[in-house]
Amino acid sequence: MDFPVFHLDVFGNRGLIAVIAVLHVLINHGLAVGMMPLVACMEWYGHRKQDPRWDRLAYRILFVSFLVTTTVGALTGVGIWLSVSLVNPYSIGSLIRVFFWAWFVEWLVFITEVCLILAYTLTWKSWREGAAKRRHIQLGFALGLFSWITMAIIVSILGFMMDPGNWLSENTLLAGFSNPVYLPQLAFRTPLAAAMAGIITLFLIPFFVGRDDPLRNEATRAVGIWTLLFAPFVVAGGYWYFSVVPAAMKDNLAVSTLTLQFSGWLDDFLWIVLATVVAILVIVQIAIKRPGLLPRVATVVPFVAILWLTGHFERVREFIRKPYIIGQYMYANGLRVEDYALLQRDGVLAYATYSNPLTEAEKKFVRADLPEAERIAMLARLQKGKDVFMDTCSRCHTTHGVNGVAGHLQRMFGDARWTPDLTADYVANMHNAQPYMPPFPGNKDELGFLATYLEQLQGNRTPVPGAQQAGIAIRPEGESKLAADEAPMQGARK
Amino acid sequence: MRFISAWLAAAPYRAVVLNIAMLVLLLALVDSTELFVLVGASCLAVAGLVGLRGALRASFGRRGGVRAAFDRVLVWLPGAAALTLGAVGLHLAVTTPPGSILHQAGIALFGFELVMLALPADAKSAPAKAA
Repeated sequence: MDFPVFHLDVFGNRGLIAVIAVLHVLINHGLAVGMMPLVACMEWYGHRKQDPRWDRLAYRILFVSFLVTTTVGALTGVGIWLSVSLVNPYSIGSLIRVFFWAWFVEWLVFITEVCLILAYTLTWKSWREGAAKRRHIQLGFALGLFSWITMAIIVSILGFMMDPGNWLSENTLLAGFSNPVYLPQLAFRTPLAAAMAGIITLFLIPFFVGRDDPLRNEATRAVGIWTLLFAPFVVAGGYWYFSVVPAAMKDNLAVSTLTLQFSGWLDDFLWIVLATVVAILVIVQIAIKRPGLLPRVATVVPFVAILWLTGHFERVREFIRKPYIIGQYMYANGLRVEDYALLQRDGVLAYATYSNPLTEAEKKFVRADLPEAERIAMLARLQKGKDVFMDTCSRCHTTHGVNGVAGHLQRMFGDARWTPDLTADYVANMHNAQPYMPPFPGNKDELGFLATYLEQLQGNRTPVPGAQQAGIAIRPEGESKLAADEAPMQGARK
Repeated sequence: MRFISAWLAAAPYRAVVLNIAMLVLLLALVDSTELFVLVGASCLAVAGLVGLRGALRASFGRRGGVRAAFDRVLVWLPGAAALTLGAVGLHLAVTTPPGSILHQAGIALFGFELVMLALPADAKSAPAKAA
């Protein structure tokens, strides 16, 4: 609660991160980690066969990958940092403290990867013959290796967020890095990236090789083999990964795979996923056995399917760890588990530096005909309720937008009035009925404030602006807190 | 009839696909688990053995066979994948309740993989053997 609250009340904060992060993963896995070794293999194969058509095809596919990874890929990479820092600065702060050196190494590896992809692409046409060509092929494989290392480091952090393992007691980088989910997740993502690259290449080949060119069938078959080769490892890695996901998280599978509203459709959804995987395998098999029979449009099916499956997998991974954002260490609201006892005693507002001023639409909830003193007291109560909402609920929920609390309350209580008694009882116990919800972190007074704020949402559908639009106010408690933070610094300056 | 004959003769794989489709349809209509296991497993075994013989010849034949790793994978992997998935399809077809989505998916998968096993590779797009 040391930062102003950034908030997107229609799209949702989670949506912002999800769009950027999923796009980044698709590009990273499909066009970098999996694609670079595949392109290097194609270049090597063309060199071995002394067939310049393979070389041209490999270059064209590399060029597409180069364009996408260095533009959208790079932007979304930075976008992840920006969005998570805005939405949940506490969790990213904790992760940086634990993984500082890992991230530093990852940054070095990433810089190397950028240099390598520039060198690999720009020297393609000049390093054409003999030893230079062999060096160029080695450059391609080195690029693939460095792409994989960046993923291998980041995957550890993703695993840590699901299950920190021994780090909870040891608090060392090594303990955090070697968390129980790390290797299984890496074993799943590595072949997934390779298979994804194969499927994307199958989709791209018809764009670069004419129907009458025999290379089209030959390349389709070769890339089909590449894809099929990694498929069993995807299945085996996926099974291993799923087996180490903590049992409490598996209980969230229905809601994380779909949403609360459609969680009853889990079985049907899993059949759709299975059918999609089988459809991919069928098309890849046809690509190998009879590439000439495979119409161009058929390659769209596995292409769309793998993007959808991977994107959805990321969504599930993000949700399934609820109520935590860092397993057993920090709840999704950005509050540490070990701070809960203190917060429930003193209240979250006692430690909140900033306030989110009430909007005019929110102020209308307080009747104008009330005596002035009563009106002021009610406004103050509503203000505190809003601050509690913004500090403890708004990381995951909007008011009326995506995953809006109003929608959930409407589903539970219908058109009955959302009185503070009704909603306070629910909020106090919601984590028992819905294990993916963190317990309410504040004290009893704050529960009442929040309930008052929720009551006004029933008649007010105006979106709530975040600090980026409405600006901020510093709470009285925040002023003393800022002063306390400032004092040692001033002393140091003196 | 002539039209059908001409259509089948135009591409040899059509006859293979048609034969297997009729066989699988018959097995599905008879609705006997035992018969499906017996005939289905036999088909997979025969097609698998024929494929194995072809792969062995291609790998270790008198003319030296394929030597490059990629060409070896190309010889062995498609058959192995089709055999595995065909067995999965057969398993689904005989162990799940008749009429269920899984049962139908199992039958379809079994039939498709049998076609994949029975069809020879498209010679026009086969990679050149290692020199």
